[in-house]
Amino acid sequence: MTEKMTEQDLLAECRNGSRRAFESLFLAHQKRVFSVALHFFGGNREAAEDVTQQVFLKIFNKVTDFRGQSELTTWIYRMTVNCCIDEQRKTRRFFSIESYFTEFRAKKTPDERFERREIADEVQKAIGELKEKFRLPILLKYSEDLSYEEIAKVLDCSIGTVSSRLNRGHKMLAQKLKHLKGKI
Amino acid sequence: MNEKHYKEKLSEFVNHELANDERQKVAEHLMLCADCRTEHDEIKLGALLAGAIKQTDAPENLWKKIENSLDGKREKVSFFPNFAFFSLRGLAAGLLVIFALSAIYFGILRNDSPEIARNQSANVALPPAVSTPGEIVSSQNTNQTPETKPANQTAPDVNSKAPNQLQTADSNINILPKTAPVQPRENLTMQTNLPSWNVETLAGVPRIGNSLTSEKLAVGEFLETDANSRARVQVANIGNVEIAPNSRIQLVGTKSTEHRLSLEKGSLKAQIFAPPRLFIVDTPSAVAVDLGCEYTLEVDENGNARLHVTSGFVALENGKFESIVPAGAIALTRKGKDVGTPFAEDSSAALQAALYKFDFENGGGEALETIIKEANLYDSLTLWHLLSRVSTTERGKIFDALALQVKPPASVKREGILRLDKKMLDAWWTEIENVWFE
Repeated sequence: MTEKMTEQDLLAECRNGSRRAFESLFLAHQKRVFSVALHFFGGNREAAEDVTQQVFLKIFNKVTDFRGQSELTTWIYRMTVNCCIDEQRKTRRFFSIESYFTEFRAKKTPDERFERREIADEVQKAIGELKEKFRLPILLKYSEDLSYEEIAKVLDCSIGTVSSRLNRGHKMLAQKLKHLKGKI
Repeated sequence: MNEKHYKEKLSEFVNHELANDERQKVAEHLMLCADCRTEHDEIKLGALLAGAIKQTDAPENLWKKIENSLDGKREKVSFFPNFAFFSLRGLAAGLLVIFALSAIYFGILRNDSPEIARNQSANVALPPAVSTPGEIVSSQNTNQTPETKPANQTAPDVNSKAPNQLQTADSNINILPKTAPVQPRENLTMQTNLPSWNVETLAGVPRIGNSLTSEKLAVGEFLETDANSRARVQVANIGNVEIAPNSRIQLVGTKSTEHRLSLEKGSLKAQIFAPPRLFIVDTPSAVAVDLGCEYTLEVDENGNARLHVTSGFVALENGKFESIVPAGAIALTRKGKDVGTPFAEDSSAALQAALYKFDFENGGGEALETIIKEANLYDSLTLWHLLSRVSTTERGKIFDALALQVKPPASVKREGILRLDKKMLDAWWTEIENVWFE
């Protein structure tokens, strides 16, 4: 309850244009926004930084519109997801080419491969290669630890849809990274 | 036979999203159903893998950037809140839009590089007046659009260069007339809006032109690092280049269709997310053309270069030959010689030595014998490139060696490869790519 009040106070101050309040909001949520964007773009920090910046600027401009119909975090996640999708569409030509190239993974020399790249990087990249509809539930589940219900709210779909997309997403990841079996 | 399966519930099961009773049912079913158990194992592996990603903090300076944007943004917001509902404000906003569009047209679109930062300084520091590869390039046609041939659609065009393009490597920069002109030096001081890229100091004091404090690298300017300096250059909006100590680069040109650097000496690491052929680096002995990738390029004091690609592809060109270098491969160039044949980073030392002799020391047949003897699956990259670099007699031997490693597709015939049929070379290249990357 206290936390809720604090958040409400913070939002109220943000609505009044308080830079310090907005900075607090940024500090409280930057990790969420940046992580989602980072994993969405397969580890591209520049793209993640751009999206994070855009999201917080949007929050600043739209905070007066937020009336608490949903959780603040859900609202922020939703904005982040939309920003990621928009950014990807804007730069589709870049990312389609990038994803073309990322399809070509390093060649089969497993020992060297593990020396060069950590498993997490490889997983991140593989997640970045999944289709958007499978990528988003995966990263909201594993980077953000959201429940199926929370994911459904962020993505504005049913829990059943989240479940089936995660099913397919899990399988795709397992197939893409089957060589990592036993390494994690 | 009519037993219910739970395949659609397996992610929920693995993620502990099921209520206890349903979880129990699924668990019991898995004990008995091998089909569902196989699927469960796969989903569990996917979940385990996905668990490797973690939350990450945004960069520390991000709040500062947001604040800066807010400072710019706030004025607009406070001037015209909801202007659509206020006619006078709407009119003013309309005028503002017209003004902004005019400014964009006259100030940006008239320039070739809308995405680049503007140099605010009225007096741009002049680079020393030395002849550079970039300047040689600048004498060429400036309006050509770079090709946008994706690397996956066709193999490198190894035999289609026009005869008049066959020049020595010393003059190789002349053969790629795809760049923006470098501003004549005497005009630089009079320019106030030279296209420039942002530069971030990573260590020491990198020098830009004559300045030790500039954070912009304008077209025509040099950036130089000493033994203790490193810098990161933002390549318009398509990526960045890290400049290692003891390096010297020049921004040759930047526009929406081409961003071009010259690396005179030292080393750079490029990370580019852009369509093929948008980012180009000149070296004294060849030109590295980005095909969407990450790579390190080194140039020694003699102008010899070494390219090591870690993601995607890079084309290394000098007009006579083009080497397509994929992730995990290396290519060398020697000033005054042809572009070296690419090789896998884990090729045997004997193969690398023989290839060096073949490419740069007239190693001939003896070197080729060693290459053929040493070649393994991943040396198919080298063998394929060699097809167009050897005589017809030797080509037959290379064909056989390559066919041993990667079976040619049905459409590829020995006679066709011997006469360097481009379609057949492309088809075989596709097979080699598959082997290389999968």
